[in-house]
Amino acid sequence: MELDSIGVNNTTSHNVRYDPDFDPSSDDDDSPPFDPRNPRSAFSLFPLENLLYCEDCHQIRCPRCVLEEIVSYYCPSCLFEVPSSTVKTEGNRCTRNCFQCPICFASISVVSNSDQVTAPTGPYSLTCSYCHWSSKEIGLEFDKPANLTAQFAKQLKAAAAENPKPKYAEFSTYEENFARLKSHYTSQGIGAAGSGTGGLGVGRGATDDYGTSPGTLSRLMGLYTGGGHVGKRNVSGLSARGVGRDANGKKTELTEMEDVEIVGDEKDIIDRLIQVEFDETTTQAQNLCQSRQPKFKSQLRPIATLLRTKRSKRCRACRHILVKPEPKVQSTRFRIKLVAMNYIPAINISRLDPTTSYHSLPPLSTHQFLLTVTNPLFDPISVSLSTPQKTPGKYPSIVTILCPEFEVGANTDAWDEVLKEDSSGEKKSRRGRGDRDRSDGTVWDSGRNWSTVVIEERDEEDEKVVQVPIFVRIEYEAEVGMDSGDVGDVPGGDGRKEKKEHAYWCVLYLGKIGRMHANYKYLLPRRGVIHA
Amino acid sequence: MDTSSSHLSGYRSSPRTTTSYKPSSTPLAPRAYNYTSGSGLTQSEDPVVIEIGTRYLRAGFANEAAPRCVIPYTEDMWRRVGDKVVDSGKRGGTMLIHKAPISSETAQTKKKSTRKSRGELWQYDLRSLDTGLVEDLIERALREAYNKYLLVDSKTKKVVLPLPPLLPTILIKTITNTIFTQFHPPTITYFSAPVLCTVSAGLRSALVIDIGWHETVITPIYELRVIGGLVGAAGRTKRAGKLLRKKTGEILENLLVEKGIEGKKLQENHVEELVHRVVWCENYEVRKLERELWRKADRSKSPIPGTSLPGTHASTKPIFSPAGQATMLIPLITTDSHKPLSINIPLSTLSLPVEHAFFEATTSNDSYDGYDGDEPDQDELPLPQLLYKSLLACHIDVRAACLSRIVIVGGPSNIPGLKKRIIDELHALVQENGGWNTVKITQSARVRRRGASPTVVTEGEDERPPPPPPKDDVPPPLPPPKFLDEPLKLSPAEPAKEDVKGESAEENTNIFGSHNRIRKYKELEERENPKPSQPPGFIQGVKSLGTWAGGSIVAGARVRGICEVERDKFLSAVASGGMGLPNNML
Repeated sequence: MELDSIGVNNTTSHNVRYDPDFDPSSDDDDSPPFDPRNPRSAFSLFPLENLLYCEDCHQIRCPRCVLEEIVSYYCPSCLFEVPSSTVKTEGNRCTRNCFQCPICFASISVVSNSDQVTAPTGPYSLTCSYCHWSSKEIGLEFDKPANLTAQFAKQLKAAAAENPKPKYAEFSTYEENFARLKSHYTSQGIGAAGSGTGGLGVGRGATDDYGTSPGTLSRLMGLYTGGGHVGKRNVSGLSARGVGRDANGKKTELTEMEDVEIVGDEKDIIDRLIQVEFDETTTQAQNLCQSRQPKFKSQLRPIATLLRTKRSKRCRACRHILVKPEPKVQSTRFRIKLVAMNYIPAINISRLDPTTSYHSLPPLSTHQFLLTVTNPLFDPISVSLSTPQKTPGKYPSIVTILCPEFEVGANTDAWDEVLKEDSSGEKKSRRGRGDRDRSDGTVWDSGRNWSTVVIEERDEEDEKVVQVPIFVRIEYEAEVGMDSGDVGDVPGGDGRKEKKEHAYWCVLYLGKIGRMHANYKYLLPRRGVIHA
Repeated sequence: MDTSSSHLSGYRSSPRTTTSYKPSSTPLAPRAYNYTSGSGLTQSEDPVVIEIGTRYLRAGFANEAAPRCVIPYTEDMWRRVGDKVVDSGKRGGTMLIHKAPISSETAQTKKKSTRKSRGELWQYDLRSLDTGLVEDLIERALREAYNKYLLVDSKTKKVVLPLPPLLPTILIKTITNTIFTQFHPPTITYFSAPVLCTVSAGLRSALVIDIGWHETVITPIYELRVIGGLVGAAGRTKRAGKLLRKKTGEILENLLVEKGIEGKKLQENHVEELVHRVVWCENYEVRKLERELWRKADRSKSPIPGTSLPGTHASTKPIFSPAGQATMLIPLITTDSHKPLSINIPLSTLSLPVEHAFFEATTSNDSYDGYDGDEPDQDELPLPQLLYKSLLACHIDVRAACLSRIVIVGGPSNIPGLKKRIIDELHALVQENGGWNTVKITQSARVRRRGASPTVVTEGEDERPPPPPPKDDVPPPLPPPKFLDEPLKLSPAEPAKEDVKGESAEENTNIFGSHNRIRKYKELEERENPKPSQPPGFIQGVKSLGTWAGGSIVAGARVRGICEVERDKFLSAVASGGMGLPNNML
């Protein structure tokens, strides 16, 4: 089947979630057709590969309806598994030698700056092999090619101490300001000191005339909030608010920071902006990755690589595990992996007329596509497809599925098909475009576990992608106990069959209607002949 | 839940009703234990601070200097999972485009309604707002934040949520609902964003100017309280980031026309990039010189260069600007091509967008002729004027505290030179208007007043330099008979924004208790904490590390928020058809 150009999106039960009246088993006419043009549809449509399936709920589960749990943390660059206890303090970033280029975000590597090729010596720098950025440009060099993060931090610290004109002044301003601010508040004991832990406001509280001892900031902020302590005391005046007492009973008060930073004219930045090239200013994307939002490229720091996680996923409704990867980083195996592809038929679409371009379907004409349903189940399924007659929107396309109800065979052994074809060659003969009347509601083609039907689309003008919402309903009979997991109750299966059903909306992209050409009048009859 | 006591914007409080809301203020430890496993004990104490803005989402842990991630709502956020995009130039590509770049003019107009809000989480025109879409977007962005950057179990972490003062309640509910239903934090604590900005500036009082995306909002903060008036802020104007982008696009497009390249439209995203990278703000002295020159040369034309036909100014005016004749070669990306046009743009031109967006008297381009230049539209006051009006509407004590503590935050405030320029413009405006007095007090009234209450003048306001404010820091016995029944000095121009004139007496007492209390407090403050005083009325801007950093400090110190909502309570309240938010937020 040709897949190259068409994305098939399956919706999930999200329709149900957002529309409580939607019942997959109810009649189609009751619920309005799914509108792929609604911007919200972008959040409920997923490719089939992204969907999971809960065997207990018999429902498709999308990335939004699972709960995730982190199994292990690792650096995608050096594949080091990071113990969860250190992850947070390290900022979820690799603290070994892995960095990303601040310009192009490729991962960068350590190279020696010396000319000796045979026995490289220091100093070393980080160099991007994609955009050739080098940490030398910002004056960052390392003595050893290992443990770069620690060396980097050391250099920053040293530079910060290097007053009055620190080498890394631009690097450290934001963090320093924050540290200053924090120590200011810490020194004042701003926190809810009475609660004990936390480190802020420790050493106060016993002599406080409130039951608990919230810190000064806490008190000031909680002034009118009724946040616990306010109501305990007769409000005699504002004077008591924002005022704490230290251990000696002396009043302390939250004061403003002495050396607040006054707004300057930022002349240095403007002067620099006037001198530099456009290319030397940072893009927004580069800026967002840096904590200090620098204006110029020379202020960018290499970015430590973000850690990634392996996660297990649970069904949000029944909490059963749907995906459980092996915790080991190098392993790509899964202990449990219930993906929807193994339960839900795949729908593919391809053009009937190979000369048609998906990117510019001739406007105002009829196009035919082949819609193939492939069954992953070991039981034959009966499929019924329904679609609104006109696609939603101002300039609708008229869509007809020529054979809306059909059977798809079971996903049996692949050899079966070969053997079957030998015996019944007449199935093969259905293929091809003869002058057979295709509107007779028959299947266009079928094989072992797939069937193909024709879908016809007649479009209006307008340059747009034709998206066809299709309501798919699948019915099949499966052996009881086959997929509910309770094999113990039904040992070996007693051959009793149970009817099962799936129903969901999916959206097909048929193609993009081309622009109306000035000479479309001439084009139209020719197209007409082809499709007649 | 419904009897909790304070108002986000400050003062609808009643200390008596605190008991029923008390559970939220119990120490967090027991809850933390429930959710913690082993070594994560300390982890679960630092809440996650999530700042949800119109354009960006910032998330990180309390007590850290910077957010772990800043996630912009790019167009990709609106895209379906698995959709691949090819450049429209690569027609031979094999993938279909769901959101194709729009090339033809007709398509642009047709799809305008759906496309206009791309990149913005919401518009404040709630009539056309699909809150479901907002939920989807917040969820997508937060999922990225939690799964890619924070890497914590969202169930264990309390959430601290700074809220801008004018955020519509329905959006607050939408945000809360999304966070609770999708990420299950035990509680969400709300803080007022301007208060956090004040904290992260190291101040107790400040006038916070938040230059946002849709609008600029001015909020006076006094003793870490929002003095917001009835609407929750002292002033708002649409002079903000979005307008700046629009003006930048227009100016650059005009420049293209001038260079003989007609009919090109610049890509919005690219214009935004340019705003971020190269737009700057001219300082006040240069602009003043220019304005005077223009006034002398041609009174009929606009006082700000570039308002008239674009380009004319560059050749005719003498150059004061530090930029001089310098130019920068800038690639411009138009909507119809992916190949940038490299154009040499004078740097002086790159300072014009800020003039148009923030300082010029009107935002309209066409109607300049018919415009008399005196009264701009209410929603588009230039920033200095709005600032002046907001300060005028403030109580005198609040104003005195705020004048030397002007904090400018928000995305566009990072444009080099802008903060200083706003402060300078305000300074000039105050001088021009002769201080803060909108009603001129006669000499006799002044004498009478001074006689009435000589003892209560607490600050040396008589010695105020150029902007000598009236001596009306003595609220009760106000001299002009007009205000006799009003306790506070208010701008007569804006009665609706009076901040302290509560409708009911009860409210009034709750807000400030009384003015006596403030005065008492001030006296006490001065006694206890004598400061090397700068002249009162001294106008000065103070830098702030921003809302997020403030949230980080406040949450890190485990300050109890104005208002805290627990998950179960919220969800059960919503399930029974309520808002789920405590009354004091509504």
